[in-house]
This record gives sequence, structure tokens and C-alpha cells, in this order.
Amino acid sequence: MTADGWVWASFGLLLVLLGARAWVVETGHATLGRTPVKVKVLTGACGVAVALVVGLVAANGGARLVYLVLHPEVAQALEDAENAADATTAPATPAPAEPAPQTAPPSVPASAPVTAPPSAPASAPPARPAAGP
Amino acid sequence: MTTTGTRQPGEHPPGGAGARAGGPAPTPSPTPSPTPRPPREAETAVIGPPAPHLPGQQATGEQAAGEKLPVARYAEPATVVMPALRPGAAPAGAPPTPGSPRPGPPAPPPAPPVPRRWRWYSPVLALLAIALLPVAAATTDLDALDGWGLAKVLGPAAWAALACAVGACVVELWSPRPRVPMLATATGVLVLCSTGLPSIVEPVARFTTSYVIAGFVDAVAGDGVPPPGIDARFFWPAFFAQWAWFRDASGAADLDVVLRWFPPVVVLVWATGVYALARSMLGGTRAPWVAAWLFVGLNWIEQDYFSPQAVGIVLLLTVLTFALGPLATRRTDAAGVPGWPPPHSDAPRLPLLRRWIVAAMTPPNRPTLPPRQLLLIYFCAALCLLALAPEHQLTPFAIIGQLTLLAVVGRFRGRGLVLVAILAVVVYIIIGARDFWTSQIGLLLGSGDDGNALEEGIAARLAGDLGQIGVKLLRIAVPGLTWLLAIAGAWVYWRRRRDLVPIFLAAVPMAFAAVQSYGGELFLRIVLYGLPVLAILGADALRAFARSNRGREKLLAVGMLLLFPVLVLIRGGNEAYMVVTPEDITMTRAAFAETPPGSKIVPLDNTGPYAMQGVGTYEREGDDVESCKERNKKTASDYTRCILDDEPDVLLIYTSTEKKGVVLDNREPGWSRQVVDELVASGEYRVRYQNGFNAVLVKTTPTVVSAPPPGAPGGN
Repeated sequence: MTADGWVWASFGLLLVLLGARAWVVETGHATLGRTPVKVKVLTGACGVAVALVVGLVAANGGARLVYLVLHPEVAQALEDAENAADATTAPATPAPAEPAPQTAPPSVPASAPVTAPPSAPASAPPARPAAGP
Repeated sequence: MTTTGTRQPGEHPPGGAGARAGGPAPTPSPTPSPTPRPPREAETAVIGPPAPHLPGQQATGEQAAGEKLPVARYAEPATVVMPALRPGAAPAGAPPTPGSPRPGPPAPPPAPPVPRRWRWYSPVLALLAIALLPVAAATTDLDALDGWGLAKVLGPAAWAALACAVGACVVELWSPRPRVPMLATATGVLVLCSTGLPSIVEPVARFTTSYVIAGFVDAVAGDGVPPPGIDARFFWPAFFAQWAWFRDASGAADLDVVLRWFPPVVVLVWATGVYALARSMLGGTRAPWVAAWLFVGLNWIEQDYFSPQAVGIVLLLTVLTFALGPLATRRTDAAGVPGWPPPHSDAPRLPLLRRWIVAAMTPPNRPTLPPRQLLLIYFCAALCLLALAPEHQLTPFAIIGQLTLLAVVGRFRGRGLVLVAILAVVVYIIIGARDFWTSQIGLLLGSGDDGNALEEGIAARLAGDLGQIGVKLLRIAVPGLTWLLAIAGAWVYWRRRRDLVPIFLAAVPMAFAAVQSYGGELFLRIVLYGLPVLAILGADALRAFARSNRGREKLLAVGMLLLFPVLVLIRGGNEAYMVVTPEDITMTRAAFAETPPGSKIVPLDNTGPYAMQGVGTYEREGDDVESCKERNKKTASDYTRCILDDEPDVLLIYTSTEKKGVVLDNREPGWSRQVVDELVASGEYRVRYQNGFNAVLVKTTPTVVSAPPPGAPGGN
């Protein structure tokens, strides 16, 4: 499993634990001033799962993102460098290929068989709107 | 008097125990009642269905008890207070007879019979509105669109349909007993005749951006993989994938019908959410409907087109409705009893710090729902929050802010949902959208230039001819008036419930102002995310306004009759260049079909359905000719020069492009035709298709392009 997979798995585990805790809390009998042991155990497990998710996210890019957010000049420099690298690696001229087909007559939308530019628009261009109120 | 909980009807528990929180304190009887204890079966009887009561028949306690004798349970101890006498069974003025229990509270007077005519007014008006819509479509002249937009070209039938829809709503609301199904139907008709008016009078979907989204869906359809390096919105692909799946599963060739009817349908769903929210926040039977109509009438923002944010707001409203409805904890005294509120007028108030501490340490009450229903609601709410993360960039932050506020003030049960929402967004952005923040970190950080965003959001939009400027000034005025009305509603809400949370809920999205990189549309989103709560508070203000003087209800009805035409004017203000014709669509599809993949197809300006397909297959640098970005400073000759520099293989020109230049950029009519003529005269381009202002220009010497990738998605 990849590192990203571990993050998603830990997040799924957290959701399962939160659901289990909700089930125990809502279906159990509440006693004023006391928290059932099951709820305490599940609360601790949820805390551990949250820590696991946060740690894995931090290790898989979260820490780097926080660093870039805190240092925008570094982030901008990295982005500029990446853009420059993309520009240099992009082909200067398009790869040769066969030209676009010109033999087939272009189809036109139905009921609009205009192939040459008319001297005037088919429908008169709308005039500038009159000054309204 | 027994202490096992068995009480006589009309008796109160000692010391107020058992009274509902917030309810009036029990008033002890000044003189103990000498009434003897009634028969025991009267205390534990199970109330059956009410028996028919003949007029003039006086039901005594024995008679009432006798009616329930067959189901009386003698063997079980009495644990529940069950009145033996039906409330109001005895005449209110009749003196209690010795040996019979005291009469209960007087029954409410029977509701007056609803006149038969009331039953027919609303349906007739709704049907009339529907019947007028085809006439409205036939009498609207879309060719005459100008800077004033749709409102100017609508025929009388359209306005009559809108008036009938408003009348159907108002008449049913004024009915002595409003019927919920009829109100819901009238609301649907109102949405259709206002928000849905463009969908009715225009033959195909409007708005360029909805076709851009359709193009994204088209790109995801097939292999289900978003094309890389095309658009940042592909990093939140849930909406595109969802509709691509729908399209593939249904075997549809395109989504044109969906695009056309999406706005009225989604606004109706939003209005349903606002109604549900208002039922929780305002109560009553009429005010929630007014809130929904107010929301529809004030929603000029037009984020209801076929887009991820439209579905995102549906999910947001769902979660908010859960939080403020079934998950809401009942609001009780902030610091318990006694002390707050003061027990009597002369008592000093407790120190604020103590009230805060006690309030913070008081656990919230549980919602009065069975556990399994609560769990189901948690599940659905969590599902909505998880779905929001890959759906849209901004909406998850809006709901996180609102849920956090509600959690901090202890207003809903299930605060783990906040954790789910935060972690879902964090995990998705950092892991799922890693390519986004590694390559476009500048977008994430924002420029921080407040003035620039303000200028882009407001000042830069105040351009165009007189009609355009008038409409845009109205767009600025309406949110201001909305906020004023909502602040008045917040004051009313505070006086009634001592609660300022709703107005803060509407203000939470303003935190987005820190994200300046989102551009000018950010301000539209701020207004939109707060609009449901603002509409509800506005409805509260209007209710207080009408309650103080019933004659004002007529004034409010007139106001509603004015609000919706203004909505049509504002929403349709850009129609001159937002409208799309069937010819535009046919021309675009033909252009893509006749152009080899890899070619560069660009529109002259960012209007028309130019992006409805070919994303990832054809080269396209943005939404415009690359070197002609500052369009408002360009003449037709400048455009020609830009195009000759940029050398696109195919140039798409629409009638909406021409009209946009005229009404928004103050160019001379016929400027796009001048561009076409100049390009053809240069010898670099030839006309492949032309009809009116619509034109497709292709290079006379086509650029050699790379071979099409195998399996590349074709057109739709």
C-alpha cells in the first residue's frame, strides 16, 4: 500500500471509530456525572486515530504545505521555477503530422448555408440601446 | 396527594419540577380544592379516539371515564398523568358539579370553516401562471436583447404569469388554513416563473460557464479520468464525475436538457432547504414559506447554473438543516436556574463571568429523537460533509465555519461532525489534490490584495451601457437591503429568543474575504452562502412588521409583487450576451467535428458555448484569444492583430460576442463583423461558416498538429 493509501486507511479507521462511539453514546443509558467505560475507551481510540491521521498527513505533504504557506516567497520561487521548467521542456515547434483534412466539404448547421462572408449581416446588427430612464 | 407521579388533571408538580424548560412557572391555587379524588381508572385510562360529541350533551367525568372503561388497566400502578376528562368536554362556563373533577382548560374555539372560494383561488392562479408560460415563450423577442437584458424583451404574458404565481402564493398564505401541498406547489410555480423564466423563453440553456462545466463533464466521461494540466477545477472533480456517470449510464449523447432546466430545479431544492431551516428557527406555519420566497426573490447571484457550487450548496443546506433541526439542542437558560434570567425584576443579575462559566459547564440537552434516528442523521450529515470535500473549493469552508460556530455555542449535538468535516477537507486537499498545491501554490495563498479583489468584484463590473450599469447598481443595492432587513430580523430574533447566533451564521462566510485569490466572484459567494440565514431573519422581521399591524400584510404582498420582477430584471440583465441559441450549439459541434484533434480552437471572446466539448483534446489557452485579454481597451483592429499574432486554427464568433462588445464594452455595432472582414482580407483565414454574426473562421494554412491520442474523448 502506498503512503497515500495509508492516509486514506487511517482516515477511514477514524470514521469507523467515530461511528462506533456515536453508536455507544446514543444507544447507551446516560448517567449524569459518569461516562461509561466503553465511551472512554472509544474516545481514547478516536484521539489516537486523529493523531495517526494528522501525523500521516503531515508526513505525506502536510508539513511541506504548512512550510510553503508560512514562507510564501519560497513557494512563489518554487512555482516560478516549475513554470520555467515546463516552458523549457515544452516543444518549441509542434510535432510534424499530416495537415488537417481539407478535402471534405465542411458541414454547416442546418438551414444556414452561408459559406462566403456576406457584405452585410444576415440579420441587421442591433443598434446601440437607446438611453433608458 | 401521592408522590408516585399520579396527579389530578390541572395539578402541577411541586416546586415546578417536571415543568418544561422555559415554560411559565406553575401558579399555585390560592385555595386548596375540596374536590374529592375521582375514580382511579380515570388516572390511568388510555385515551382512545375521540368519540362523537352530540351538541348540547354535557359530558361529565363519569361519562368520560365510562367511555374508556373497556381499555382501563386496573392492575398496573398509575405512573403517567392522563386526564380523565377530555379538554373542553364540559361547557366552559358550567360550574363544576360536586363529585366531578375540575374541568380542564377551555378548549380552543373551533376553527371557522374555510370559505369554499379560498380553496380555489390559489390553484386557479397557479394553473393560470403555468398556462401563460408557453404564451410568454412565444411572445418573447430574444433578438431584441440589449443592455437591459431579458426584462425588456419579455411579453406581457410573462409578467402576467409571474404575477399569477405571486398571487397563488399570497392567496394561499392568506387563507384561514393554508394547505402545505398547495403552498409547496405555488412555490414551485413561483420558482418556475421567476428563476426558471430564462429556461422557458430560451430554447436552450444560457450562460457560457454552464457549457464550460458541460465540457468538463464531457472530458471526464469515457475513461473517468480528468485531463491533467487543463483547469484547476479538475482537482475537485466530484461533480464532473457524477454527471459523467449519469450521462454514460443513461446513454445520453449530451446534457443539453439538464443544463437548461438545472437552475429552476436546484433553486427549488435550495428553497426547500431554506423552508426546513426556517421551520426550525422561526416556527409557525406561514413564516417558513415567506422565508423560502424571500430567498428565491433575493437570489440574484446566479450560482444556480449547472455547476459544482450549486450542488455544494444543496449539501451545505442539508447539513445546516440537520444541525439546526433534529440535532439542535434546546435552548435553555444560559446559566441554569436560579439566577438567569433574574427571578424577579428587582433581583440583581449575576456577574457575566459566572453566567459564562455556568453556561459553558452546562451540558447541552439531548435532542428528543430516538437513538437510531440520531445515528441515521449523523451518518447522512457525515456523508454530505465527505461529499463536499471533492465537490467544490469554497463550500466546505463555509459549512465548517458555520458548524464550528454552532459547536462553540453548544447549539447542536454531534460535534464530531466538525472533526469529520475538517479532516475530510485537509486530507483531500493535501493528499487528493497534491498536484494542485504543488503546482499552483500561488492560487492557494492568494495575493492578499484586498483592493484588487474589491475592484474586480464590484468596481470593474460597473461597466457597459446605461442598462448594464443600472442593472449592476441594482445588484449592489439588493445585497445591501438584504443585510439591512436581516439585521432588523436579528434584532427581532434577539428580543424574542435572546439569540444572536443566526446573524453570525450569515456573517461567517465573510471570512472568505481573506482568500483574495478567488477573484471577483468571491463576493457573490459570500452573499450566497449567507443568503439562506439572511432570508430567514428577514422573514422574522417581516413577520414582526405585519404582526404589529395586520393591514401591513397587504403592503408586504405588494412588495412581493414588486420584488420578483426586479429579480427577473437583475438576473436577466446580462442576457444579451448570456443567451445561447441552438444555432450556436450546432455551429460549435460542427466546428469541433471538422477540426482535427490537437488543433487550437478559441472563441473571439469568452461568450457562447465554445467550451462544450473538446477539453483535453483540442488546444485552448484560456477563455479568450490569448493576447487579447484586456478586451475593454481593444478595438476591432486590435483584435485582428491579436488573432494574427496568436494564430488559432479555428476562431469561433457568436452573436453574443458581438452583443457583449456593444452593451458591455461600448464598441460600435458590427465590430465583430469588422474583425471577420479584416481577418479574411489578410489572407490568413477563410470563412467556413457564417450566418449573421455567427461565424467559424479557419486558417488558410492549417497548423500541423500532433496525431490525436488514442482513445481520446470525442465530442458529446
